[in-house]
Amino acid sequence: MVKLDKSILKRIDLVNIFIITMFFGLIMVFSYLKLDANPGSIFLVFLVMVGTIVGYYTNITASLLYSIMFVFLYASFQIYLNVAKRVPIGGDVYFWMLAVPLFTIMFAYYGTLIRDLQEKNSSLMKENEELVMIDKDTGLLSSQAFFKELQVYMKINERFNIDLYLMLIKVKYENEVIRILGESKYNKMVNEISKVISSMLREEDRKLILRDANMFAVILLSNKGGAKSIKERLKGQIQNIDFKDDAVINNLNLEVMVGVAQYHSEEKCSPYEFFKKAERDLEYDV
Amino acid sequence: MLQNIYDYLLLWSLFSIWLVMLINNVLVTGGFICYLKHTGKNKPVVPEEDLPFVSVLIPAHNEAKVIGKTVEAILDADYAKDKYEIIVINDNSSDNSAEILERIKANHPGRMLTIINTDNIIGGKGKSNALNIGLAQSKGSFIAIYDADNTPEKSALRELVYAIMNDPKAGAVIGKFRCRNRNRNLLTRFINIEGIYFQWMAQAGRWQLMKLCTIPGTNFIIRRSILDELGGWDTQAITEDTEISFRIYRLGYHIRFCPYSASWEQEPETLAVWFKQRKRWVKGNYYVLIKNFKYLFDPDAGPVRFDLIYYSAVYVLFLSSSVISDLIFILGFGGFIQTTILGYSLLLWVMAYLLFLLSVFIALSTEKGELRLSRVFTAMIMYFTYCKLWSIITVVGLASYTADFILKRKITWYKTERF
Repeated sequence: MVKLDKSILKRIDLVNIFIITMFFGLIMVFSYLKLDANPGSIFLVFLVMVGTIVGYYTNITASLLYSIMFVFLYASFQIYLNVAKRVPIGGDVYFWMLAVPLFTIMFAYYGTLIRDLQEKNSSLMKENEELVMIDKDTGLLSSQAFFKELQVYMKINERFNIDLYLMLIKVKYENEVIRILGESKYNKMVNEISKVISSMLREEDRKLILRDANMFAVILLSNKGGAKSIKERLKGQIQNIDFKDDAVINNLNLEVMVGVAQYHSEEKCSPYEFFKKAERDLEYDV
Repeated sequence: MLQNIYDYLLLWSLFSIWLVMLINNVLVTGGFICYLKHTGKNKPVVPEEDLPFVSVLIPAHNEAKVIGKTVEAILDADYAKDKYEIIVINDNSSDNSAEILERIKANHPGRMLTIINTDNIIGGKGKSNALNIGLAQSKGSFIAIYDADNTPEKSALRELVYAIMNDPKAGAVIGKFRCRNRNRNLLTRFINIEGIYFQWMAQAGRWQLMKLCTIPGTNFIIRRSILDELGGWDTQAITEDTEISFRIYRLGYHIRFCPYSASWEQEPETLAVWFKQRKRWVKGNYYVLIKNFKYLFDPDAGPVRFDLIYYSAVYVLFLSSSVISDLIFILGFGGFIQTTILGYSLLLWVMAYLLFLLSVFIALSTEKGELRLSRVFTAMIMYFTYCKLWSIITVVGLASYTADFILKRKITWYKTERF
């Protein structure tokens, strides 16, 4: 994919050089053949410029059609002048017959390349947004992956009948904590919490950070009552985190709220409803 | 100003060359409009349950090299399996086509695949006759026809059906054909460009401007009622497709162009095979032109008259005028005659060359991935090589047609050699 972008860029460079050369040629021919003596030439330059605009804003097919129209009408007119009025056919006639198609097509190609690049860019950006499943600070899965993961685990529960829990972890009095600590210290704290969550839980449990909602989520498969003991252990460990050089945080006596919901396949709820259920449970953790 | 008879002759040749160029430009513009119309999203469709029963006819004569792949491709079409039958008319073949076809039939039990093997008594009388044999056995209300060397795209048949179902005035709908072996050698590259150019300029352009197309012999669908009314194909015609197109128009129907449907075919890879095939086409067109010439003066003939004028213009005007101008040029060069208006000839030539190149590019630009630098170079030399071969063929074809007519030779199955 990266290779393709490079090739488009190279082509744009090449086309740019070509266009500059063509303008140079146009100016040279215009001054050396003294075309400005003929007012018709000014009109032809105008047609060249119209061609570049038509080319740039449409596509190659339309610009070719413009060129065909021009070549046919212009050459027919010149032949008519030659046959009926005895006007000699000079070199400039051939020049214009080549210049209009060349300029038009070149600009059409230029426009196409730039559009290609923009399309590529926007599609990559969109793709990227969808692909950021991993939070870059904590290494946990990000909220982009949340509902998808939840859905997968709900399916597993329906098939194998293993108890499925969704655990949400939120810092208590979070707004006040942010106000006291400031953004950067708060983020440091979040990183420490995520380390604890990562180390304490099993590999197969899904650990996520939901940055928009300022909470952690853990999707875990466990036997009956397993979730409750995990909840207690987690709370204890988080409370005892030692922020070595940050006495401020230690003095805050960090506390978290944990909400847990169990999924019952017979309820047939959606991932969102399941999440809401766990979120409501947070209110009971006082 | 004009001083002698040669001046007037030259002026005549100038005018007719210019006229042919004008017609071509108008057609290119029509093709462009048609292309724009088909890039939109409102494509006509037919709900799955309303799809009609279609009979696909494949006439074949000694096609063992290609017939297997063709039948497999059509068996694989994206169309309800119980709504189409395939009838292969293996016409008087001396190779192992029959064996290959039987094997395919055995491998696809439950599919409606009929194989008709004919001998030299009922068969062997050309494509029209083979199609008539197939038609007699078919059940569909629509008949689709594919040549034995075709690989239709999966959606090709469906798109044809969509188009004909949504247009009650369409007697037939034609799709595009593309060149499958286009990168084999210079000749196939030429044929590829010619094919694309022909579809978009001649077919799409005429369709857009006059609702007029000619059936290309493959990848098209036709109403059974029309075939019944016409009494099938004309077994005297060697280009049965052009011939039946003219008759469809005279019944008051039109032939629709459907660029969504594409079929890939194998083109001649050697000059000798190409020459034979094209000679047949040219002779066939002479047959149709002469058979239908009376309609040129018949106001009821409708758009067919344009085709007659167009063919006449190309064959008569253009050829005669280039012969005249060349002769005058040579005679003038030798000092035998004097002309006063030779100054434009270079400009006329440059104009013709440029217009040729630009219209080829416009056609190429409508097909994805075809407008490449290598194609541009191919088109640039095409004018001096491939196009000249065509002029030779029109002359040779005319001579051969006249000889056939005088000696009353019989029309046999002209088969294009496969690779």
